[in-house]
Amino acid sequence: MGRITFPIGPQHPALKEPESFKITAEGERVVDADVRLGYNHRSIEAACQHRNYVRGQYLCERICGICSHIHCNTFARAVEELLDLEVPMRAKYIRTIVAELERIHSHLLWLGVAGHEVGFDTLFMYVWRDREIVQDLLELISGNRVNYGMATIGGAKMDLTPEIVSKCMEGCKLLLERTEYYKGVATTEGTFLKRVEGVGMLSQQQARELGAVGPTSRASNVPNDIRHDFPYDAYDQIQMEFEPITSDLCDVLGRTIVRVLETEQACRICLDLLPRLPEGDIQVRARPRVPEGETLVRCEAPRGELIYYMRSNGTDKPARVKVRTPSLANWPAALAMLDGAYVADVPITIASIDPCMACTDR
Amino acid sequence: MSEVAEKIMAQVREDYAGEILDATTMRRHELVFTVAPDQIVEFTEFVVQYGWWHLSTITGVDEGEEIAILYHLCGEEPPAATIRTAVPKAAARLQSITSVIPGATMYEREVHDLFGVQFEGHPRLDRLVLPDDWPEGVYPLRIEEIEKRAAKDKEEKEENG
Repeated sequence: MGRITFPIGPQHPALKEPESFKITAEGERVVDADVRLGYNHRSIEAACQHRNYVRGQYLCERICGICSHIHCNTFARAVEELLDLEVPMRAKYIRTIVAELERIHSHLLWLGVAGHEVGFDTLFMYVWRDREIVQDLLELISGNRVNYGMATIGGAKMDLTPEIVSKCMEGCKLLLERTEYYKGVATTEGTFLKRVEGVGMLSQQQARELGAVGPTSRASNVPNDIRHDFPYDAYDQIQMEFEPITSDLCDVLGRTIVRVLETEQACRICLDLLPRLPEGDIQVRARPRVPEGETLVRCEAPRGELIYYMRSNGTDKPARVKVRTPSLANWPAALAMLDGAYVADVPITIASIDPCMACTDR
Repeated sequence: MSEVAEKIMAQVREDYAGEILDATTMRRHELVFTVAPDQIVEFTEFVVQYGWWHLSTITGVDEGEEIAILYHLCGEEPPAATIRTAVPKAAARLQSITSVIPGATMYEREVHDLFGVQFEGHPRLDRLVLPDDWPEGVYPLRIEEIEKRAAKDKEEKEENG
């Protein structure tokens, strides 16, 4: 059978972001796939070198519209490490809670998109309705639905009042109930299973070799989770049982299950931390000039391990900021998944790594 | 530096047959091993066997005459490891580590785009982030390029009042 090479993109087939794929197919089967990035490249790493740390943090928060808090938080942590600044415990709790709420919102968003990709729009509507619960909570806490600006160098920007805490507890309990329902849908709904079972296979060995991160690698039974392996902020304060969630299915179904279970876990983490919010300040003063040094901070973003490398030179501007987002790390794995897949499964397979193009390109 | 990290660092120095130019730490969780550019593949292979199997990313840093390349790796628990090497800017060439860690492809392409480091033995060292019509030999994260752009921005600002 003859081979045919065709482009998909630069408008992405799954999400409304620009990315170009070169797919080579033999009949209905994909035999080779390549990705061309860069349509969204905004030179944020270079731009950071022209801005002081405070402005740089605002800029980095805008790397991603979905997981913005984690960028804001990790940037702050990098500068705090360079300054040798100890952040108050209350601020650490607040940051962790917001990060987990963000994870809930990101995973629910993904589940809706996944439903849409497989033609299951009822699921999409249901999930996005319930996502409003967590969006309302984030708006209540920070005043914004995206780009919360909750972390600042030296602590957290806004405090959680007792009313907000009780509303968050209510919201998380409600989300737990709803997640229980989606767990049922993801594991038993026939029309959904037919589209995701055995699709986009990524073996454990491939996931390790290709450096996959986050739910993508955990669904291939690689239990790497930065929150667990390299605890930061208040993750070492969690009292409930906290282990990385894995699946040995290695397909899109596995990735769905991991994300649904992680949503549940994130709700439980919030419910665990919220009642124990320690008293005290939420911020300490940070000097604008950062002494010479270099640091590397890791954290677990909703899509996986996020890395900031930062080098300072004694001025109020960084000498180098390097960001490696989880989406970039997952591209080699995504291309491996496409090998041998049906052309019709390309969108859901690509969507299964929860790609974020704005993150990938920066 | 914690005792565990110190112990591991000493152990690595003892076990590795080649030469490690320098071993130090970066903050709490990171060991930094400096090796010569021609040792990079061999040392990466050794480090992967040692338990730091996950390549987090590759960072390029312009240090004036040289470009430092940092390979950030980690395993299941702290400490993590960073391999550091440097190549002269005038002849920025380095062996690709994709034969040891296939997941390095994207990271090497990115460093190639932004710093102009040639990775020898890379399966497909095409452009990753820069546009197709970007001029050859211009590497946007090299200091001279950043300064050039800053000067141009300033000029434009003054012109526009």
